[in-house]
Amino acid sequence: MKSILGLFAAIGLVLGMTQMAAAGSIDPNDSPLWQTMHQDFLYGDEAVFDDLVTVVMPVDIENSTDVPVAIRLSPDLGEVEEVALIAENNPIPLVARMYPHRQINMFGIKIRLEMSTPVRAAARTADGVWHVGSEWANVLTPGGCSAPIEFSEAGAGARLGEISFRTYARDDGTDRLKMRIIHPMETGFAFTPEGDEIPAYFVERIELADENGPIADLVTNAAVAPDPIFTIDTAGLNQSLQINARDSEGLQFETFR
Amino acid sequence: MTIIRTSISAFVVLAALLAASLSAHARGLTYGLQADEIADGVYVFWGLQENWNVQNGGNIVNTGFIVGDKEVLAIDTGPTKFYADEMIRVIRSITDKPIRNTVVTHHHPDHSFGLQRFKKINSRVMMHPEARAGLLRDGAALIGFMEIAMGQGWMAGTEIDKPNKSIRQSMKLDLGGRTALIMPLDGGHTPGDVIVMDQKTGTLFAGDLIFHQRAPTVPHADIPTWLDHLNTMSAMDWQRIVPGHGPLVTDRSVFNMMADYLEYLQQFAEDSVARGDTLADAMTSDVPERFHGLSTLQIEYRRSMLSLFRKIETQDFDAAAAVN
Ligand SMILES: [Zn+2]
Repeated sequence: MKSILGLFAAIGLVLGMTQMAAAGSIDPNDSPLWQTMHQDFLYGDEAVFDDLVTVVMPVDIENSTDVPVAIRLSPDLGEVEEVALIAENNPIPLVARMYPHRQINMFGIKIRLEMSTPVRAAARTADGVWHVGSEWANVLTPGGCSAPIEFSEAGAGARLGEISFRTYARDDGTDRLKMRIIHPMETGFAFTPEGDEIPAYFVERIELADENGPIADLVTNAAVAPDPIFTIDTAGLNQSLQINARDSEGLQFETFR
Repeated sequence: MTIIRTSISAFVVLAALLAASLSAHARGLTYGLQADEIADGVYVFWGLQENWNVQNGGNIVNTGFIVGDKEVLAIDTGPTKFYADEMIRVIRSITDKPIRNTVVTHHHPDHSFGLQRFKKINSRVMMHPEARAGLLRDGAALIGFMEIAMGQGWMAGTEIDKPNKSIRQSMKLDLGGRTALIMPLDGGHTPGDVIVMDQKTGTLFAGDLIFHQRAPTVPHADIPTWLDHLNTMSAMDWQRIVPGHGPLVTDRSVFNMMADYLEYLQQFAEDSVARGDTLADAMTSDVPERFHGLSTLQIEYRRSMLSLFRKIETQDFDAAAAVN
């Protein structure tokens, strides 16, 4: 009898813990760096781990210079003021921030990962609370931030800053905007074959707008992968689009339709 | 508390890895290779239906050799120095004829990384020029990748080396009493694939142009060309096929299965880009049930989407750039 009670207690404990992990302040990835990340990038504001924000990405990463990440933002969040993407064990942990100007259901990006790490997407709602979704990325080929980008067409002078985009009507009734900008996104941690340091050089701001006004602003760091691709799902995207970008050397790029 | 727990679990993982690599050392880093005589004078070392890991040391590939009256032809060299040394030891226990030539079917590490050891015993190592280029380009990075995937113990002493001879055109090799046809069939699985046919027994060593009951790897592939090569091989006069991975092939069903899977990958990636999916969507999509019997399916499928999807997506963005 005692052992059965003990078993129930153990199950209760396990269930309780699972529930806390599903929505609560306990980090499901149990990462020692989370407190620092929380202070540095979420300003120490209230943060809950729940499933209103989910990170969709492959769990085993073989190409650490091109890791696709999709952040799904539940409509139940209500108004989202800011989204932060954090790869904890990266030398550049804060990959990007997005400031939506209308409801965005998904934000897709490709990133670099230096080593295996929790990947966090946090969405700050109007009440000031961060809703955090996490995924553990198991990086099989480390060094995504320090590898020279031999396979990028980026930096091929004439195409630097070339922006191309397409829009799609998706099955769920939203419109999708997918854009690419040709840029080397140098981290500053890579070296040439001759051993010279390649200075950091990256796109740092992108503004997306249509005829109805701004859609979202992005603030990006060099942990975004070379030749970045961004995807945004939002309802009622207007056919006329305007994309403006600026890089860390102050060069400005734009395209419109 | 958090920190302690994390470092303990990291320690447990490290300890497990260390134990596995130590036990490999204790065994003298042996693979336990056994030569299976599948036809008169034709032998195969069968690999496991697994991905590389710290237990198997990369013994996931099929290699083999053909014994003639004069000399031996080895086909592929395995993933490590230790594998190649063991292969050579087993061949020598079966025949004292010299291993005059070695064909490396392509540059992928499980096939090519033992070639230094065959050179060491004065075997002439032959490769397609594109495979040679691929090996010299990717070799160093791949050694690092394999050290992570299976532990440094297995990789100790493995070095990238060049082949001695380029195979640009089909050639026949007289092994004494039997002839081996060595034939480039490139641009399908990788830019530099070569197949070997033992004409006496009709045994075809197809390298990685054939994956049997296993998901093919496509990061260096061109699928339309690969499909052509499947037709070419299907029409050849073979009795049995030794695939690069998976069990012996004795009937044609493997060609249908491979074509079905490769066409599916290509079509899915094209459709996925066309409807505006993200790569994360494509890589986390479900694979149809008819392919679920293929070993290593999940990881190969994700790997395939990563390369195929990005290639098609890049073309699509380039086309859009011209319009935008
Ligand atoms: Zn291969």
